Amino acid sequence: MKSTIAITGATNTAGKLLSEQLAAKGFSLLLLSPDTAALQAWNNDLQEKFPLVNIDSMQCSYDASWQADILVLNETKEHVLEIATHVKNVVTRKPVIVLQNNENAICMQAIKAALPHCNIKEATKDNIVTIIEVINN
Amino acid sequence: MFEVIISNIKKKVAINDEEAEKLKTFFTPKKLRKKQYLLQEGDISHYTAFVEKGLLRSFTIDDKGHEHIMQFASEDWWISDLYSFLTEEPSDYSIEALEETELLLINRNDYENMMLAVPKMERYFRILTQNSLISMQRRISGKMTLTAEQNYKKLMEQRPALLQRVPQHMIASFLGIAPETLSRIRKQMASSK
Repeated sequence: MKSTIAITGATNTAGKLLSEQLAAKGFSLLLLSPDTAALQAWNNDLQEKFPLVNIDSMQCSYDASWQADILVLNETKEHVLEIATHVKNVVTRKPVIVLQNNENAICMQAIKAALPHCNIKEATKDNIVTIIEVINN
Repeated sequence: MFEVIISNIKKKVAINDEEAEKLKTFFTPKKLRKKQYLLQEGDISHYTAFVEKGLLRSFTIDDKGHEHIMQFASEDWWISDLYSFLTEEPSDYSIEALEETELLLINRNDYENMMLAVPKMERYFRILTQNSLISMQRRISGKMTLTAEQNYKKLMEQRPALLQRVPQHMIASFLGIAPETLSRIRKQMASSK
């Protein structure tokens, strides 16, 4: 059975690229973004392209992380700790993947300190799909 | 999120607050929507699950496409395919949420590690296994020696709340009888009151 993956920042460039790649591989997706209009539009676009894949847009990162098997944090350095702390209680023992972008590196030590009982991995846009497939298998 | 499981454990073994906190770090919280699957037939059951809230069923499908329900698990129950969980062989069963459900999952490694971290859990799981063996033995002997009506009455006594939450055809499947047979039994019982 394919894992369910929650993705934050799902409507920015990296989030759209990732959600499209994962939908193409048949993963169930829970998309998150503060921009609800863009989120709904992107959800509709993806669902149209991949009609058989389970795709949902969520308002609450806590609820999405609770339903998910894997959480992808696609966030700026400024927001990532806030979200990690918010979802802490529902991601125990789950894989949490921090998507790095080159200009704005996120400190992994701080994430690990905020989520001590998670399986935290660092990824780039080039290797994240492979990492998720390895976890799923 | 851990209220039900901690109280369930405390009914069987005495754990202190520190041990309870330690236990919480081994479980993966997972929420399922109605009709979502925890396990699909043919996959390996990587987790055993405790139900904090909601209701699930485990079932298998025979060659003719008929569903056979093995177990209903509501709040305060454990559910998994123990054979697949312990041997890592593909499961013959599927596990589906019948309501919105909140689970605590534990995988095989963490299951062992938890018992090393809190050795009282060995005793807890021994008691669970004993109870489960007894109920399985009773269910088999009930199926072999009692009538369908007697088995239904026994289920009414043991799990009255379940009968309110589950459709009749699933109750029939769990009892191993045709839905029409269950419907006839229910009519007879109603008219003899």
